Amino acid sequence: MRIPCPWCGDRPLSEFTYGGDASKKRPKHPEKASAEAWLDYVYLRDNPAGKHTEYWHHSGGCRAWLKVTRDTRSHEISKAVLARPQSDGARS
Amino acid sequence: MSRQSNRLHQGGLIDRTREISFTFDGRALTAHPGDTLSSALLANGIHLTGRSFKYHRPRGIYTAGAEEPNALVTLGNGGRTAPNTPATMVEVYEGLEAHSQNRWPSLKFDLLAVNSLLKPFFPAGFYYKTFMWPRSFWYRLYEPMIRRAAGLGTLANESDPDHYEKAHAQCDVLIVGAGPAGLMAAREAAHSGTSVLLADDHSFPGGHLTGEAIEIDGQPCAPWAAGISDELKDMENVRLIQRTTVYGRYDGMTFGAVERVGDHLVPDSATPRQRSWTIHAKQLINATGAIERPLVFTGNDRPGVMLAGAARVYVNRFGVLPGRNVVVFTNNDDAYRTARDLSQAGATVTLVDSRAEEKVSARGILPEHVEVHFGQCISKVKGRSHVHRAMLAPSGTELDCDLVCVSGGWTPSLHLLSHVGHRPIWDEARTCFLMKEPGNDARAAGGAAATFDLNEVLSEGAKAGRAAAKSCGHGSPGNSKLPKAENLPAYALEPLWRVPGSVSRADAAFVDLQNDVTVADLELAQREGFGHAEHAKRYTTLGMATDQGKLANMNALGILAELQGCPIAETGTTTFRPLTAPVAFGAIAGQTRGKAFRPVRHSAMHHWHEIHNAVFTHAGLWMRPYYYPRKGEDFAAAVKREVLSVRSSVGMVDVSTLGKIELKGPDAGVFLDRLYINSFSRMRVNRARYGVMLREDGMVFDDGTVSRLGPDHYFITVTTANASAVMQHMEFCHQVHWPQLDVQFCTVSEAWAAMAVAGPNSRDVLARTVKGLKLDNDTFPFMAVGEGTIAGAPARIFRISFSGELAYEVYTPAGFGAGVWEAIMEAGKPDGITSYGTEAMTVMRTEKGHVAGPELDGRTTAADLGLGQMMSTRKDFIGRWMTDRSGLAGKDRLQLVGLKPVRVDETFHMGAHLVNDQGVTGVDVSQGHITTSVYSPTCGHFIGLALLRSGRARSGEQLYAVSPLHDESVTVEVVNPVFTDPNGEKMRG
Amino acid sequence: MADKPTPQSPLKRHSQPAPQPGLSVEEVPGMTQVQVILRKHKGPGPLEGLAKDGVSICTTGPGEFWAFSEQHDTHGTEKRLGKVLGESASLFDQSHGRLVLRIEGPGALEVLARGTPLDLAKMPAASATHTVIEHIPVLIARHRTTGRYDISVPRSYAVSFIAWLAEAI
Repeated sequence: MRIPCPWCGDRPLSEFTYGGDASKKRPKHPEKASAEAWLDYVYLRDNPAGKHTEYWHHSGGCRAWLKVTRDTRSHEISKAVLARPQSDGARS
Repeated sequence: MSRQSNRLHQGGLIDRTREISFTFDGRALTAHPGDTLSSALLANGIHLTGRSFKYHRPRGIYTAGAEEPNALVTLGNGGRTAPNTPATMVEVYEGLEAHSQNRWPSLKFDLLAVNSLLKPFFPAGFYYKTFMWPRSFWYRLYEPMIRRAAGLGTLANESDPDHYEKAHAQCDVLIVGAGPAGLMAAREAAHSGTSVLLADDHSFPGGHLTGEAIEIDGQPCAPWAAGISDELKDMENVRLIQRTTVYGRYDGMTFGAVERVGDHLVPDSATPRQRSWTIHAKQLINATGAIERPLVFTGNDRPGVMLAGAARVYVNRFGVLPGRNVVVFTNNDDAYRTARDLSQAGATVTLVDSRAEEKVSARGILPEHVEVHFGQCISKVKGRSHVHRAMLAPSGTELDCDLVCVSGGWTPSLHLLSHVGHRPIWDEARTCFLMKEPGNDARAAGGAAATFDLNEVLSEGAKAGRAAAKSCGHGSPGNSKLPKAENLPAYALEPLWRVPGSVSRADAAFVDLQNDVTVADLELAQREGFGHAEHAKRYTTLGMATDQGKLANMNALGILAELQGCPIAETGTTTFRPLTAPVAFGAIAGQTRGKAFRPVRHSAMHHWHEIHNAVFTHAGLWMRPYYYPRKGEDFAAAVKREVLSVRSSVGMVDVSTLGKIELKGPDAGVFLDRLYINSFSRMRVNRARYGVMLREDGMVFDDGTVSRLGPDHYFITVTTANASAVMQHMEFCHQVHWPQLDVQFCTVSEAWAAMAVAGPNSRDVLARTVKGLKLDNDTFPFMAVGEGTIAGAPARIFRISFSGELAYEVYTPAGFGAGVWEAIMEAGKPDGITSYGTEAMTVMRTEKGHVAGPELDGRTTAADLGLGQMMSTRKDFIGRWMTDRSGLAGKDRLQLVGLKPVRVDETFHMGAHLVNDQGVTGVDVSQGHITTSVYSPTCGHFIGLALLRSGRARSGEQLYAVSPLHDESVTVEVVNPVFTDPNGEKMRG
Repeated sequence: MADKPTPQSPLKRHSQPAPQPGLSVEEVPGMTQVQVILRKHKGPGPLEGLAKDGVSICTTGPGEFWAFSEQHDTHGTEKRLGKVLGESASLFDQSHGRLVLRIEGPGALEVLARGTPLDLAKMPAASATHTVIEHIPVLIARHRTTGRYDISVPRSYAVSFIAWLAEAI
């Protein structure tokens, strides 16, 4: 399987490390969030048969964390973007 | 028997000017370059090549290709022994040694053929129903007996002396199969400018054309194919690899293939035996052709019965006539070419066609004298070690014969289209499964698409090549002229899954030859409720042999459909999975064997450790000194000496393997505050502090040291084992959680060599060699950080202690590591400085109650480990909020304690459980477990760290430490985990 | 005060692969390597001037560069980088942590293809990329000169990498 890193291009799976469901967001105000909100963030995961947006770390390459949309049935990857918001113009 | 009695005087693609010698079962035989082992054996009149798996029935050569079920031989000897090799794929070379398998004492006289007589006891699934009583006999007798009888070839117990390679290849279009479809596709794709990789599993291109007597553009088809291939070889954008099996298709258009580079050559050390390819392509053209299937009737497994297509390959490609009195039995027109070719080679041929005469159009290509029986089937052949008679039904005619050629039709080879999960669909008109929707990046051409008319094949191949090239963005220059093949009769098959009615013994009508699965077995599976294709496969083992049922699967599906009275479209197929053919482990391993299996990592001081007699241990990929035995010392003596030397004077240990991360930027301190349970943004410059990191679920993740080198400059160390995990975690936190933080960090683990100098004399030793930094206690107190030089090399020194002694960690750029280490050893000579290894380091940190890997097992919180007071309540950090869960706050949590044996000379094991009552076992009586246990020279007895329920409230209590695995039960007392210098005076002085 | 010692190569005492027709493999000793990580909000100034000044710089990731210099030591290299980058980046010296092997010749691609699935033929000249060869993280830099590649290997893996390379040749 190959993942299209937006920076490096298509790279083999062995260069990446899986990071779990990317739809889960750490509570924006951690001190105010309820125990349930934390439980949900840390433990609860959907397991869809279909498109799944997930984190992958390009650990063997540019070391960017990516948000990848993969179909869990066919492994077809429809989208891969940098996880870090790009509004600060970091890309040169 | 005269030499090469079955060799025709002319014809074939072999080199008749040279002769090769080889042996089979010790018998000296001759062949020609270009022969395969099967053609050479047939040339010498040898059909009998092995005994079947279960019943030990005599078996002969059935095919001319990789789908061979019977003629599996063992090649070579010693470490080069290669069992279960299909004789049809072995290219004969001078001195080749081959042996038949699965027989004792000999092929002709095999004692285990008695299994044949015991056949009623060995139907499909027998091991679920027999050999059950008496129960004790299973382990003692039945199982060992069955194991010995199982299997075909035998592995050598020697190391493989050959070497193997691995390589990657990139191409736009991968074409599998260099037959007519593949060659045309390659030519069209190549002319469009796209990059092409053409892989073919035979030794030269042409596919099935190498075994046919057909003309293309007025020349014989084999030289025509060679011409196309020569044209391709000259093109820069084409790579052609022969002797290569593409065995699997994986996600992302990645393919696995194995190239038999040296199998056909006399083994030598320079040439790799095989090369394993990982191919990355954009488009696949599956031009793998189709595989012929047998017809199913009683005795269809006898030596002398073979596929019709194979028989004419032996005549046309190898110049071998496998029999002189031939019966051809078919349900389609393709086998008529066999009748023609064998007849023209001098055999007497009778053709038996299951179809009615009016359905047949191929009669015209047969020579006049060939007798044809229409509407008849072979119901049975006779002959134990070789076929000699065929009985027809319904007419009852009996024919003498020495060769029976069978053709039940052709099954398109779909594997590579199906490996990624696409399911083939039944095509009723063409009586086969086809991949109707192979996806956007793959297509089939030729036999693999059930196209059998040669002119259509050529056209389809060309079209596929153009389409694939177009998908890669290369337009075609225009339709080049198609070659013209001679017209041949259409395929016109009438399905005949098994000869009906008068099959006298269904238990000797074979469907899967290699696994000895008969029609009776399929009938049994259906009766017992295992009639679905997936069930029948596992119940009967049909399709599970090394040939993966290539000749069996389609017939089996047809028979099951008939037994169930439902159409084949509803039986479905079993799933195709890689590998399509057996591949040697050596090819998969390539160069990564033995020492090269995985990399090892060495510190800058590795050579010094080696020459000073270090015994090494693995820490992940690192090789670390475990202990340094002196003359006459064993492990225990060396470790004891090392610990006592450090605690009484001074020692040094290499800690270069620690993960090291450097951070810069105005928000570096804030970032660290959010990662660790304690705070760093306000610590002083040139100070170090112990830090603990949690996972988001509140469990301790890692611990280490954080040092501040400047207002916006930090340097942290993390445990060796977690170095990459922590780095990854930090990158995630920065890129995902807090991208707005102005902090930049990277790993510098490799850039720094590191060593810890520990012991009461450590200050004096360092003072002798460190320049530019004063080390007295007032200037350089506990937890201070400073810079100086040692032997001219820059050195960063941290006064931190893992051992509990007065200690300093010295960091220097790695290129200077060896020099600095040697300078310190030299400076320490007057104090008897000792190098110590990871075991002494472990003993000392245990004596001081420091937690390390075994305590940070992913289930312990900071509070469990006695570090709860370090947790800040005034900031957000990873893991803070889940720590508050009630389940993690209870008093009955497993808490860190120390243990010592009540009887001073007793020992206990890491992993032992702590219980109140001796002798009572069971998971729920465990009060906790021992995480670390070592002999402590400082205390003079064994000590341990353990996690014990409500441990901190149980000081002084006595418990049993039990380890049923070691048959051990020891009385222990719960004590303070800090066994020596509990106030830490030594390290602060 | 002792003179500053010479950094020791991790390949000291290990033989380098013998030269082959069409392929040369050599360690480039003393190559300065600096990892450059951009701070947010600010991009760097023009980077072309650095090449004329003896410092090659290639992007290796979002907001990240790797600078090589055979001419200048760390101090000199960081000074020159500072002139162009100003406050817009943090610099980290990696010179001691990695050794550089220069692989050159028409056979270079084929040897490297034994270890990496990357299509190195498509790699732009004067660019660099991180990847993994047989479990060893490496940085491959392709020179403007055809067929010349610099492989930056972490020093602890050096001996294993050379062993792989010797087999692959």
